[in-house]
Amino acid sequence: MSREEILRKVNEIFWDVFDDESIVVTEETTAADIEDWDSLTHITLISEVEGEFGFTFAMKDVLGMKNVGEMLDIIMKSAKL
Amino acid sequence: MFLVTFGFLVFMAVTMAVYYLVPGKIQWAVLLAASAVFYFCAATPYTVIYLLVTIVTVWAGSNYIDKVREDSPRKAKRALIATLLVNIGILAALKYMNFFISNFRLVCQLFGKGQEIQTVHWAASLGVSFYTLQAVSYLVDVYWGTSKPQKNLFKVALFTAYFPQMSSGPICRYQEMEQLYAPHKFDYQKISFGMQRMLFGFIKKLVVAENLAVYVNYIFDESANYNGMFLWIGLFAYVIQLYADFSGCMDIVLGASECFGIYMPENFNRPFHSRSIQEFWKRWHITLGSFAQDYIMYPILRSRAWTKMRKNLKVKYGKAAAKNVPTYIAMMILWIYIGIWHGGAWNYVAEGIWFGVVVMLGQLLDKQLKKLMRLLRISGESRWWHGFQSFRTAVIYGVGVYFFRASTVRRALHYVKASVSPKCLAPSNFLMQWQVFSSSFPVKEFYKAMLCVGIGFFFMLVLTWFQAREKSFYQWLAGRNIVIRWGILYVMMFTVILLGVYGPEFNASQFIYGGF
Repeated sequence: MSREEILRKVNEIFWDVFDDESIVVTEETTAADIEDWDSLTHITLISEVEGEFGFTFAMKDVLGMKNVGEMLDIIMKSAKL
Repeated sequence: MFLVTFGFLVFMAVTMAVYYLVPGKIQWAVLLAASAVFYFCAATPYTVIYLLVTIVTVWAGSNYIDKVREDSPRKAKRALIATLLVNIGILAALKYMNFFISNFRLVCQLFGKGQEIQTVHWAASLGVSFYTLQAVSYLVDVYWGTSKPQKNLFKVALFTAYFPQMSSGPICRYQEMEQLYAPHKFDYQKISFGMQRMLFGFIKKLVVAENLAVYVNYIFDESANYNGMFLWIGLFAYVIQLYADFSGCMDIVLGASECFGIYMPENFNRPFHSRSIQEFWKRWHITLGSFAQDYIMYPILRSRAWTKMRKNLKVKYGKAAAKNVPTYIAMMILWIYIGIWHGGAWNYVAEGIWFGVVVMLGQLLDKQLKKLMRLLRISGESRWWHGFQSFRTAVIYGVGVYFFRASTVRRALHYVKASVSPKCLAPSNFLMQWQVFSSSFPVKEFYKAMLCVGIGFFFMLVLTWFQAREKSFYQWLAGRNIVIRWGILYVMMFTVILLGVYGPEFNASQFIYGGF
């Protein structure tokens, strides 16, 4: 799966979690860019990504991730694509 | 020796003198020695054994976990669980044993079995609720790989038992406290800012909280005579007392630490400016809330059981249920934990449930509320709406405080009922109660105390004004000329000396949060 395809899938997860299909995520998107992206929805988001790509994030990554780009890096490294 | 005694000021002066005279490399050892002296002066000496068990197990556990974490995650997990069990076990035994015993007795009675188990009288280690959480957070951070373990046992001891924060927090993370081991040069401005912050703490604690305490205690202790508006005023005064007491304590703690060049995280950020109870808890006792979120709620939400629950709910009830139900259950556990952290009693559990339910309802009704606001053309950004939201949050918090202040759930419910009953809210009722109240105290003394509270409160407002503008009062003061600067400082010092409550009959150990 290419990075673009992963980003597209991640975008769909964002639509699901935030219940908003107008969201367009890019590699630079951070929690500050999406109104409802707080610490709680962050964990829901992480769980959904884990479910979709079949791996578990290390807690270090869950707490340290700065933007969607970093999330993609981890997915590409950890998921069996 | 407690934080608001002359002895503590002398202790600070001696520690600072030695701290800045020795080479930077061993400054941390001075703080460790001072912490040991502080502990033996402030606590029951034999309880040091509990503290030592925590220090040694956490040091050994963290280093072992780090060693095996990469190659053998199972071993690391077992070591983490074992170390957590020892430390949480000590905390539970010291703090909650009588709660377990009394509930066990109750259950036995319900089933007609007269079990005679006596309650225990174990002296708790000073600050056990605070340092245990701090030690747990460090241990878990090492397990998660977000912190490197500290190899030096004595440095772990300092992190666990650093004297300014020992009795009342804040609950710090290891990464925030690594500055403890770095050399710190003598810096006049840092020290003077630290001392000025302590002075503000003394005003909040001795002038505001202590002058209010006598009257607040009287209203709540004699609550059979007081209800309606009078009880609301008592509650309002208690909330101010609680805030002045705890945030004053934090000013003394953080100010004392700044005198050593060590900056700890803030525990308060203008909580009564909050628009919701959720926001309130991000501004009040911040370090407890963030501990509970990171080390209790996150691991629950990421546990296998929750992942399974989410999957099952998605299949049976759809996405919304899968998203919300597990989150709300985890949130409820978090709030009950925050409640019970204050002590083993059902009123604290009820307090946690109250806040949990309010937060949950807020989230569930958020969309409907926004819709209603659009319909009524209310701007979410308008000042009056913000004012209304802050008032609403304060009232919700106040109701929670009834549970916090009462010794039982029944008494708390009595407070709530007596506050809202239309019969009790009648003005004539208020006037009658005022007569009873004013005949119980010399009226002159009462007005004098309220004047002191008003003056102390003025200083609190000044500080809030600066905080709201993200400015430092201390920086501002440093920029004034010598006459104004020292004039203001003298006024503050004399406010404490002349208007504060202290002396032989004052129990300096009684910070409200020192009791946890």
